Amino acid sequence: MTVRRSADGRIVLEGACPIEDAEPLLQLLLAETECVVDWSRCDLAHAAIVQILLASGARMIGPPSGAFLRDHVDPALARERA
Amino acid sequence: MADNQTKRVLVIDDASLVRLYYRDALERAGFEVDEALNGLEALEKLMMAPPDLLIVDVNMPQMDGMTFLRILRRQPPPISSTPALVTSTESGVQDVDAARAAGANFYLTKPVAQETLALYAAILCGMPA
Amino acid sequence: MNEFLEQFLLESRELVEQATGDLLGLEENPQDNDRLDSAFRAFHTLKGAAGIVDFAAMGRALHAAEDVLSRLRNGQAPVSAKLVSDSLTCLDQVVQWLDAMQETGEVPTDAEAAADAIVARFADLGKAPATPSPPAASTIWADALIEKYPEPAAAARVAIRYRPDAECFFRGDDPLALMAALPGLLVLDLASGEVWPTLDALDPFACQLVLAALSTASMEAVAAHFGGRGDEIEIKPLAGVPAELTGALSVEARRLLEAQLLLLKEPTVEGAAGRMAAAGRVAANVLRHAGRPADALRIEQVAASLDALSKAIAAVLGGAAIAEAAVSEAGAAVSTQQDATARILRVDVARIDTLVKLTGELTVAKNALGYAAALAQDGADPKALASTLKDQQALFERLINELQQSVLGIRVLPLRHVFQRFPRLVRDMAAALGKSVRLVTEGDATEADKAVVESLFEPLLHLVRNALDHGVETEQDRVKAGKPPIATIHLRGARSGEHVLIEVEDDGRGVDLARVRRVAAERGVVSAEALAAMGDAEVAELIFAPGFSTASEVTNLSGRGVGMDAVRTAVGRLGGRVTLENRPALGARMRLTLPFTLMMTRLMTVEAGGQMFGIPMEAVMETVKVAHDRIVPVGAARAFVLRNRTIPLIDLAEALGEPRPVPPKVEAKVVVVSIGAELGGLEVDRLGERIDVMLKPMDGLLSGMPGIAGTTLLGDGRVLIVLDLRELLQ
Repeated sequence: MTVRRSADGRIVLEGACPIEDAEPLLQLLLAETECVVDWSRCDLAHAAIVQILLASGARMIGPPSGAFLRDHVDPALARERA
Repeated sequence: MADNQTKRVLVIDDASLVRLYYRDALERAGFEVDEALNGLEALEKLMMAPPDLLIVDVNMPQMDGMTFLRILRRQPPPISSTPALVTSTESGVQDVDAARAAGANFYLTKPVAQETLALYAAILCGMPA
Repeated sequence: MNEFLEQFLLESRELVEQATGDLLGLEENPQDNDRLDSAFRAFHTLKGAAGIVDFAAMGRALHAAEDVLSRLRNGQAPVSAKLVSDSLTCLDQVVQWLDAMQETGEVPTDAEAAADAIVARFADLGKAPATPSPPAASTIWADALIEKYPEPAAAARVAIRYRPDAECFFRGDDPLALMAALPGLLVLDLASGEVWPTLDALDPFACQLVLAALSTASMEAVAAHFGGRGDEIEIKPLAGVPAELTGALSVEARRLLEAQLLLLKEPTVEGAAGRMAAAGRVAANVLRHAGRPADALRIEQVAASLDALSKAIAAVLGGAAIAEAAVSEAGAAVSTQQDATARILRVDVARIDTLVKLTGELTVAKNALGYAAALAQDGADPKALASTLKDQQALFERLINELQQSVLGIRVLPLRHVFQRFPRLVRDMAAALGKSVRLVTEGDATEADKAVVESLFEPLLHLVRNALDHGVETEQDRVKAGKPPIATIHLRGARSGEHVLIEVEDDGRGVDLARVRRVAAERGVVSAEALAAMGDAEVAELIFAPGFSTASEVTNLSGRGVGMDAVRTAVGRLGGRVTLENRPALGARMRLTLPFTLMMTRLMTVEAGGQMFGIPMEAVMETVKVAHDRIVPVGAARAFVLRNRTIPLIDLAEALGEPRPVPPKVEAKVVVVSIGAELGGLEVDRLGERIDVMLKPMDGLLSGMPGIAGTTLLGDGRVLIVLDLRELLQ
């Protein structure tokens, strides 16, 4: 499962997350008021996923395992929150 | 055909002095140069190792430049599309037209300055400026 | 498709044609307010029509154009070439939409993006030039990017901003992946194009990201990476990138490109493929040398097509980007696809009235016939009856002839239908070839049969292309020759008795006789002796000879080949002919003579004595094989018995004067035909297929020959003789 809720309530993004994960991710984020997203084992993410992360302002647990996500997308997300 | 490989030019002219002059100009500009004395020899060399550019003289014994070009353009690809620059002492319109009809990409009137030859060779081979 | 939509399509196409004519007229004469008005009204009406069929995107696009045209009418901005081009592009898009609707029967649902593009084009036009728009406005984002990331910016050569359109996810795009693959990426910036909605209102499938980046790659590499995304991508070179690298051509480069264009114009003799490939290779190399690898790639992509390659090289020399030439090529392609056959005709009401009147008269004649039948049943005097019937037959004959004329008359279309596509085509082709040409049309109200008019487009296109390509010289050459710099091509139509005449005339250099002689000799089209004996006029006619081609453009004409012989065959199949009047150095005139009306007949083809004949299918009863011992002589003629009827047998080859080289076989192949109540048998060598043909009107030597109704050309160029059975069997 590329997007799921873990036992301790975190939303976990794992592996390669395609556009089909966008809707489920959004639902998971809406279900709780304070969300934490763990993408430390995420290799790839579709733009729609990153857009939701950006829009939600959720706290991220990382850094992501994928090179592009780690080197470029993670810093970009961090800057937008700052 | 990577852009950073050395380009090979085959000079086809029966006069040894001309071949020497062209070789000098081209080698100093960074080309690898091979020579042929006439069209027949050129065809043999072409089959063995296709060059990036041909510099062809018009008047040669055994097989002149025009005949060579016509045969060249009838070969299968990629040989048939080898860029060919014709050099000749003649400068008339009909000579240029005839060379083009035979399949020349460009025509320079002799005597050709070394810098001019090197410049056109570079462009014809697609070497970045 | 519902009737509403049909009407919408019909009217919209007409409005597009009208608007195109007005825009071209406006381009030629920017002061022409009538044209401006007319164009405005056309766009306005089109917009209204779009509203009626609920096609919001088309309405939006047209509204943008209409807005600008309105401003022009109010004198708030001057007419410019860019405006005309953009308006024409808008019309091209409308035509694409109309074609799609024709196919699917519905309003397209994916038109929003294209409409946006059109709106964007018009957005910076027609603004009151009171304050010049700040040129740096569009690159403020780049400055902001540099400020935000000073260190990467110092090493970067380009700044990029990518705003994908909202629907891009539905097309399977992943803008982030595209950025991930960008060469030389230094830093990525992510932002939103609009204020983020609250999470519960967020549409996960609508993209509102704005992706920006700094990269060390060259502008060309980046442009190639993002190729084809038009307005969504902005790329700005950063200070330090030499302007020369973005594309100017050196003198040597220009000379080389011009030489390749000439090389491509060489006649299609042996080695043409090699020459074309060499020209493409050199052109691409020239562009690589000039630091334009993306353009070099594009040249390589079109290098397999002589036409496209020539246009691309011409475009580079002309300073236009190759993409634009491809767009104008696509525009020309759009207008050739549009309306290959009109399925709907506009008909003069008077013609329909005539048909109604004839129907009435036929009803009266039918009743009279019924009366005569009743008389016969009551035992009327045979002689009187015969007289009455004869009169009625004559009446029917007259009425049916009139009916035929009337119906054929409804099938006529004015030549305008085909002529009107040419101004735009000539403009685009001339631009691509770098020549200055104006097109003058005359006699476009001349009418001809619908089938003729519709089939004219391809041959005319070929003739016009030929004139532009080979006949018309460049401006410099014309001035040197003391001719007016702008060449003129005349497209004329006129009616002459039973024929329609169409002319394509240019004031270019005429047919190059020396080259024709050379190519004809080289290709072996005629023997050397014959060639030496030919006068200039005959030599010029050689361009029509099969096997002689002046250029290797691929056309759809006869499928058999390219060049003037295809034009001649195509026109021949319509029952017409093509002649050339050549005036060396002064120009050339091609004249097409076509029949005004055409009769389509279904024929059975047969072969006899080595010649192909056509027998009208309506007369064919059956085909039989008759054993030779069943054929009996009757006087000087022959006959055979079929189901207790004696049928005269005619050997077709002998009847038409062809010698009979083959000795009679054991069985004769006979086609049994009927003329009135009589039957006849035609002996043939071989039975062929059934075909539909248009008969070429008889003239010249053949028109006096009995038994022949007409001739036509088969697809392979052979002549088919169509039989007049009545005359034959008399």
